[in-house]
Amino acid sequence: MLRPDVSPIGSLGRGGNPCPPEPASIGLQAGLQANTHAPCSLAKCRSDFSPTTAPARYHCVGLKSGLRLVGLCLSSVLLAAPAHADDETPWTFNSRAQGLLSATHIERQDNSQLNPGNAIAHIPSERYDLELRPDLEWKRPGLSLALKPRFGLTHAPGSSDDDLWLNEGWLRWKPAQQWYLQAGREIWLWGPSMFWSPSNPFYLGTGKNLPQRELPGRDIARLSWMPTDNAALTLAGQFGNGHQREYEPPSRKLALLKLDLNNNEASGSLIASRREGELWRFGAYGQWTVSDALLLYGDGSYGQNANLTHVLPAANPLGWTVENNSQRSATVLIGGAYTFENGINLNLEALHYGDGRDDAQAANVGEMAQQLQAALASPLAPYAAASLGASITPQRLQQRQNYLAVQLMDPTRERYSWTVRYSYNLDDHSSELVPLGTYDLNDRLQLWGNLSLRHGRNNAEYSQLIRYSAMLGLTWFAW
Amino acid sequence: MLKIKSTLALLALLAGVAQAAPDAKDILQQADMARGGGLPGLMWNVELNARDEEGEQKRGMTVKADASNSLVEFLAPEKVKGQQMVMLGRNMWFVRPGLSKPVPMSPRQRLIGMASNGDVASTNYSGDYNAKLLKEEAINDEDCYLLELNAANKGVTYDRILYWVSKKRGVGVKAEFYTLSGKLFKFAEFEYGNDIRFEGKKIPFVSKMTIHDAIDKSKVTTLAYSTIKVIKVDPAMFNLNIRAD
Repeated sequence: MLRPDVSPIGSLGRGGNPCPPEPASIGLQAGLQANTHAPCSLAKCRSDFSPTTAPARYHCVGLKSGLRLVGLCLSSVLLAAPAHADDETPWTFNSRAQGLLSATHIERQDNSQLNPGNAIAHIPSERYDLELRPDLEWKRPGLSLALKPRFGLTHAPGSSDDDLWLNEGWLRWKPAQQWYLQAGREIWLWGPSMFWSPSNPFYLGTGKNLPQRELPGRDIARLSWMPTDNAALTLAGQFGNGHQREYEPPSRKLALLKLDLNNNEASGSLIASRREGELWRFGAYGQWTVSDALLLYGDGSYGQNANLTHVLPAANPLGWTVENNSQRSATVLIGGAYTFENGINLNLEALHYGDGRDDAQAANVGEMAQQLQAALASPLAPYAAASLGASITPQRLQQRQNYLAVQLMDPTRERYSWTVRYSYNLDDHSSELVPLGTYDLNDRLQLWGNLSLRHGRNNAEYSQLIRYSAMLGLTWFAW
Repeated sequence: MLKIKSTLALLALLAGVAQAAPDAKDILQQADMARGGGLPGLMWNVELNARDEEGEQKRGMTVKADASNSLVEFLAPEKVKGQQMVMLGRNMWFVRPGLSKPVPMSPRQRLIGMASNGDVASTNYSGDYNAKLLKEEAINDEDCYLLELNAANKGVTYDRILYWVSKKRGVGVKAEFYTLSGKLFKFAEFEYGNDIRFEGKKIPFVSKMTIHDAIDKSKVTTLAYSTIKVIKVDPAMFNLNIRAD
């Protein structure tokens, strides 16, 4: 298995194992980072990826973990069913299915120092995807089972890939009054914000820049107790990352306690979580319906992200070393949503991200990238490449600390919809404009398109790898 | 004899007083029940049909509601199947299966056509509005109380509603909806072809709501309510993290 979190600079700098990193892992690591900002990248789409051998391994992983989960869910149903044996309500079955076809074009940043000649991130310039998404659900009072298998085909210049996996599959059971149990693979998102959700330890993003793309489900078991209509307490554990179709940094097991509170006009949550090997992390979010048109909300967290690394000058052949983050920091988002008389919705959000790089840290990364250009043509090339890749890994919510974001959305039209999202990095003044649109050809076919237009210097966050990308797709709502 | 006469006179006086000033809130609470408000657990289907400049739009939905919360699940057409709207008091979210996280909504966001989100869910006018009895007036030859409803707080969908409630049946038969500036922007008519049994009593239940745009008469939205069932509603159904049903 590739180990994308290999940090060769660190080992070299600290005088550890001097073996160069596995080149593929460097590419994978960096390539997938690019994908977090590009609408279309996929780990297995790297140009140096062998389509003849590696996909089979991914199939095995995806199928095995999926089948294990299906087995777990079914056996749980068998265990839970006797508790409902006296209940004569029949099972109901619901299903729906979608097929998605999309084409993507990415215009890379020509003079990127972090991805010179696309040798680090391996971002494909074109990509074509087909995905089939059936959703199956069986229900009876107090018990439900859902399975959401997925099949995907991807083609990019120089590589093709197909994949079969279980994105979600869970069992919900109400063993007693006020008690709820859920186990399996699920997408567990929360909070009112549109751009970032710092209180959520399961996901870095909200998935809103690419609404047609599904986030990967996480393997989670949770027990909830709801003593009143206005409060619920949930104890949860994440025991797996789910099927990672696109590269994400590996995450360790996590335990979480969540308290949900609501009244007639407001709702919110307090969250305490601890990932294996890290300190406790605390989070909270809330929303308040101020008037029929105005919502105010907030989302934040305080804790340590041990996966983060900082680049520092060092007395080693490369001149740089990487140190793991040991600091706790706070991240705060405040936002609001306003609905105009014509139904158009405006969201404004401001984020301070405590784990983002400050000016000195960002300057270190820029300086390192500049100095390593020469090393890429030397025997130290694998180390230099890994260092550049490490500096753009998707461990962070964002790379810098202070952001503003705006979203304007028109959900009022029957045949079409449009959304414009704009994020501005207050620290390096780069920005991303994302217009999204859908058009219904009929009740079963929807045409959609997304653009991502980046602006900024070639070493600034939004513009360091990609200048723009465009995605056009068709969704078939089969049933 | 004198005693009987004075007792009868007193009763007549009391009846007269009661008849002269029925309590507006009581009238409203009774009318709410015929639209799902204040009842502990109900489920019904809604077929929505909207006609406007974009043509004809349709939605099929199932609504599960308790006294103040509703869960709307979209069944048709295929492009919206599985989408849900959760209303927990005045907190509202829109949920698309699998794709992204729940989106918080303001009460002002419209569902489709002239229908607001509150129109498909249970109606709780008695909790959301301060009611005042203006006068009695006949609508389609049916004697009605005309109530003026003013928003009790800023979080409700409409600022002011004029609501005609049948004196005989205790159900709302017509409503006019006004903006903050006092402008009429839509009006609705109600039919009650359904009924439910609650605490041994037969209660009429709304079967059709027809909403007209106040300016553009070609814009009409109809909501047909059917398959009304009294069910046990689990409060966890409205908790976005638990979603039990």
